[in-house]
Amino acid sequence: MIALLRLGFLAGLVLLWWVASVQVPRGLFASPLETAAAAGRMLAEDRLAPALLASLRVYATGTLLAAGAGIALGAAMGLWRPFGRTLDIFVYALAATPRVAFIPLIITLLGLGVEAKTLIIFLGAVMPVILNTYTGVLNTDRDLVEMAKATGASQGRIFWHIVLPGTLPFLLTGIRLGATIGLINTVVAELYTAVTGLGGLLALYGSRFQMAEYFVVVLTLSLIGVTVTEGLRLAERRLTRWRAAETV
Amino acid sequence: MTGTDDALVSLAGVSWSFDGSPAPVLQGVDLTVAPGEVVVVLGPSGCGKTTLLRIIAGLLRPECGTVRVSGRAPVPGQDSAIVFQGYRLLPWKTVAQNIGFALHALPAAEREARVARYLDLVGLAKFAGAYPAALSGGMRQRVALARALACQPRLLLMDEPFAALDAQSRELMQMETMRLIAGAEGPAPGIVFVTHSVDEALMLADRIVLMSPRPGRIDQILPVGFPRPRWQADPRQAPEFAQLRQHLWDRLRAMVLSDPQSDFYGRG
Ligand SMILES: Nc1ncnc2c1ncn2[C@@H]1O[C@H](COP(=O)(O)OP(=O)(O)OP(=O)(O)O)[C@@H](O)[C@H]1O
Ligand SMILES: [Mg+2]
Repeated sequence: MIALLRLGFLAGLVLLWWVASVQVPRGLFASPLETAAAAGRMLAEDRLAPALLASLRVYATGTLLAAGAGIALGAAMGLWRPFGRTLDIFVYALAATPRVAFIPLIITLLGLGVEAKTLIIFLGAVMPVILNTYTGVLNTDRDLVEMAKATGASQGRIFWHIVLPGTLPFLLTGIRLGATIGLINTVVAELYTAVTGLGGLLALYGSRFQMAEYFVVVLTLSLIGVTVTEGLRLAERRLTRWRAAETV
Repeated sequence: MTGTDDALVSLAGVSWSFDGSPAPVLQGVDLTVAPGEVVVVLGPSGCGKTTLLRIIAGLLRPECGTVRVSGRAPVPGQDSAIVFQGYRLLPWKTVAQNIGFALHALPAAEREARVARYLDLVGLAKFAGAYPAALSGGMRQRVALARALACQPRLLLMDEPFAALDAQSRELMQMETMRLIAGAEGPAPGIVFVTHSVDEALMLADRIVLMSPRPGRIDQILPVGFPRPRWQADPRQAPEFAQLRQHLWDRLRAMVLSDPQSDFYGRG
């Protein structure tokens, strides 16, 4: 039922797009049909796949590194309180700073290559992972920890069986937010550093007013975004199946 | 400290206060529990009953005085098992995994067999794979009980285990719990049972320890002589029962009315 309604809504959006493309003077906007034709051409001439792969490679590297580092740092901050108290104000400050501001600095330090791109993506994706993991560990149920201690559980056992599962919902939300920001930063990085990947195609077709090709790239990006967030949402639901009975 | 050599629990001169707090939570508590004995600790809210259990479990070290369980300083998880007031089940583990959690020292095969036996004992074999969120309050209570009993402890500590249940379930669970403990393998454990309820104390106790608040101290220790098991020959009709009940209520009322921090202070 919901799936049908969603399909209907999608059809409505395409219709709206088509109406808009008829109203606007030709050359500034592409119709759904022109966009589809452009997609066919780009695939046939192998212009889309290499850019897509280049973007996905830096996106995945930056986001995975951010997930690993963010979980480690956030957990350390939550488990070791003096460390967390010392650091958290700086992490909040950094999270509140628009990290696009660091791009010129990063370019000066790392150049225009893959390293600079990965760092830009990493910096964007890592913040929500750190902050959510930290919050999750701080929210650990003390009563459950006491229960575990009363069974003679070691610190390691308490971490694996109580702290970590309790943090998991927070942590997965952090990763989902991080993955979204990571995708945005992928495009930003490709526009500001060496012009490659899908961001590079956006710049190219945008400057040449090839709107049909331009739209193909935009749609590809939103498809990546939807696939990644939906995949993570699915993983989240499977990993926290025990909550199902609570939230019905 | 005489006659404590064969005691299961012996506390002598135990005092405890929170860090930086001038008013002690517990002061000069002396108590012994014999093997297999049921001691019920009764007292108004905030008199330190839970703190006393934590000290007996070895989760807190007293500032002064000595604590011995089976002749040595208590080690959490080795000398006792606890049934907590709020059940404290792990929501991300199934019923069977929750019971197995306390048995981490056993080899896997033995652990599984033990979990199965205790699930059967509390009548939840069908719910082995269910998550706690899907269980009723009474079922969660039985899982928490099975988790504690499965450790086969010599000493069972119970902190208001039925406080969250409605009056009817509560009475049924009292009977059921004592029947289950008696029906479990090995010798019956000694029990320290904390409650607010005078009737619960009278139904369960070999001895009632009445505590007074601020600082938490033992006010009186009263033996309860009714024959067991008490749910077969209901002692509530006996005149001694009514007398004891009246006496306990009078003492509790007096404590609450004279405690400046209680809601009922000075209303007598
Ligand atoms: N974190 C804390 N810091 C300071 N005092 C505390 C703290 N926790 C509890 N107390 C005090 O310690 C005293 C004893 O607490 P405890 O939990 O042992 O009482 P209790 O008899 O179990 O109460 P209840 O019947 O309400 O469960 C209470 O008066 C309470 O005010
Ligand atoms: Mg208490």
